[in-house]
Amino acid sequence: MKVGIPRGLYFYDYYPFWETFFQELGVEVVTSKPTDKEILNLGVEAAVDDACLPVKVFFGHVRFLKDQVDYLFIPRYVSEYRRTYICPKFLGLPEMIIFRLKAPKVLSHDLTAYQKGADFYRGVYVFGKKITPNGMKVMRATYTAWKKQKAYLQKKYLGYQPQDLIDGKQEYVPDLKKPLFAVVGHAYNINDRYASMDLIKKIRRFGGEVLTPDNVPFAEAVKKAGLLPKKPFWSFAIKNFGGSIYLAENYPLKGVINLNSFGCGPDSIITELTERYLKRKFSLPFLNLTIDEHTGEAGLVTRLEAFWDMTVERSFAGESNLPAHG
Amino acid sequence: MKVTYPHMGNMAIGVKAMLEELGLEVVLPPPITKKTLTLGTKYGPEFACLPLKLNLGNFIEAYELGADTILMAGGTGPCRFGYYAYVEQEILRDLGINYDLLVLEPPERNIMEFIAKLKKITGNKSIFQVIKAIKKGFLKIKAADEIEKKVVFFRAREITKGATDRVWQEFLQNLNRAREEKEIEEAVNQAVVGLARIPVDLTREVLKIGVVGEIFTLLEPFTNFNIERYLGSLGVEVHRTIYLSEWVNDHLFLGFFKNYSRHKEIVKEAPPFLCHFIGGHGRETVGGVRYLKKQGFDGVIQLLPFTCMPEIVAQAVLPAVSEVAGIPVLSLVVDEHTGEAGFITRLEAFCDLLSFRKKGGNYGKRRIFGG
Repeated sequence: MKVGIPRGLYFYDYYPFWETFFQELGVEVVTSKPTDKEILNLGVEAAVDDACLPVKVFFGHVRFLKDQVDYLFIPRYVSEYRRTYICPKFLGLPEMIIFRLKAPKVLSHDLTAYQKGADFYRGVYVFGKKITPNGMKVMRATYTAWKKQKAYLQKKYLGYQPQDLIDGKQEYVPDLKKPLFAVVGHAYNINDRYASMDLIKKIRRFGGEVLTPDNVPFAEAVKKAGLLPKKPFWSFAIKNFGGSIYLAENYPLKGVINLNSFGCGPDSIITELTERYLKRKFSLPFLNLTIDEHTGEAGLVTRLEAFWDMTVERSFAGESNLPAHG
Repeated sequence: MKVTYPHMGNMAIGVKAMLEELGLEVVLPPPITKKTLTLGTKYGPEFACLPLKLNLGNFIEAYELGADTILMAGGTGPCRFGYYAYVEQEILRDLGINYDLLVLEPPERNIMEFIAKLKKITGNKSIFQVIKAIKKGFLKIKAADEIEKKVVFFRAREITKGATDRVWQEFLQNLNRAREEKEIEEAVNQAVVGLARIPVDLTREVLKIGVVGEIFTLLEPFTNFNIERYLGSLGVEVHRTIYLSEWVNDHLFLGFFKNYSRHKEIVKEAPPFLCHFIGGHGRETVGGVRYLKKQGFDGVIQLLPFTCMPEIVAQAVLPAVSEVAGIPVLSLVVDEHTGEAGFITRLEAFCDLLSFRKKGGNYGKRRIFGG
């Protein structure tokens, strides 16, 4: 049996887990190629107009994979952590794929930690039983996968980005002594090299280093999210808001770059709050980038270069914050 | 304490009655106009959905009238609505508008929690007085919904255009003025009599269209260009899947009045097209299409504000639902745009399509093509 995992949405959060899990169960795993123009076009053609970019990209990956595999693996991530949701689009993802793309061969299961954290793994177990009746084997696979996932998380806390760990061909070692930037946004946008126009690589090429909310343990992010009048009910809102505050407090950041996808619902609200709180507490330079299906890279590069000049080059040249002219 | 709250259709009437019964001073924002929208879009987050912007506009306008406390409902997600109040407060604070915030988070376990929170607002009023106030507010909303359901029948069949709307407006005024339960009943009776006097053409071929979608765009006529009245004038009977009193009964009273709302029946129709709740009214939208087909409707219109997350999911599966159920569905996205013409053209085209469809193949043979 061949199972396809589309390289989109929660791929960068859970790929090591699922890869190990399926391999332990004796299932061959196929992933789609990294996003490129073909994949994006496939997605934009099929997805509903108003959907956000990552959903369109996901549609593209599914269409690319659809005929190469026996089953597509699209779980319904209801909730990652207790009393949080992810996003309505994640909740309806399997149905959107099945009915929009007429792809009936979808392996799916509800994974929810809304009531209890352990329910997530209970869901994984029940799902595993669909593949093999051997309960012991599923348990062992879940355990091995969980260990792999834990090692993956530990690496991320050291400053590695998911794209270094999953896509990276040669070993990249992040150097946190370089000028640091916090890139705040969803893992599936930041790590998608085509959708984000290779933002991380670009900053590294300038000579900077990048930290993202992925590098912050969730428990720390929750603590920082306590600053808000009400705890957000989207787990990535907690990650992004709490993560950016945590990074600003614990690292000598040069600036914060916020990467939004056009039409992202929770982001429209949380970015607003993040920006206001960061401004009030740290007075850090803040750059907001919105990505879309457009492929014009120049606009992004210009803004990024200007931001780099404003934050880093100036201090290298020993300039003060006063304007140079009049 | 001068309390204000955002507009949403006829909600203002019920909430005002409830709060005044509790002895609070209510400052209603002026009805939603273009000015409200302009204020909201100017200060609101760029990609936030339309209701948030209109709420924000409401609050700024109410502040000018002297309000100092916001009363809002909360939520536990995943729809953005649950976070509205807090974002709006942050934005207003940066504008130098300081409001106190009273957010009624939905009772997670039982109705007593909700009442206890209300009691914080009410101070030393006894629980019976609180219940009485809630009851009065609810009765008003219920009365408005009851008459509204009748109004659509007459509006589609009236001989003199506008006769029904006159009765409806008069009824809303009476309802707003009513102080006691008796007066509410009187207002209802008066409206029923008034409607019965309207001369109607019962032989007219009337289309039945159901409207599904996001609650705010369904209930607030400003956002949907008063779609119900417009379709009514085209001779279409319009029903919604969401009425405010049903929503209140389901979400605030946790289904206290049994068999009052159709929520369960509607949601039951959603699988296999949507097997999990997705927040907002996504599941109601998907289920609503098949539910309306079973009720004998001719077509369905989905209304959603731009970037509404649950409705986008629903929109993605609706073509499949429409195909299986055999009922045409039109998705209309509303936004800050105020150009009515594009909206109306699509509505008229949709109605034409439905009436051709209703007359069936027989009509097709005799059909004369113009032009």
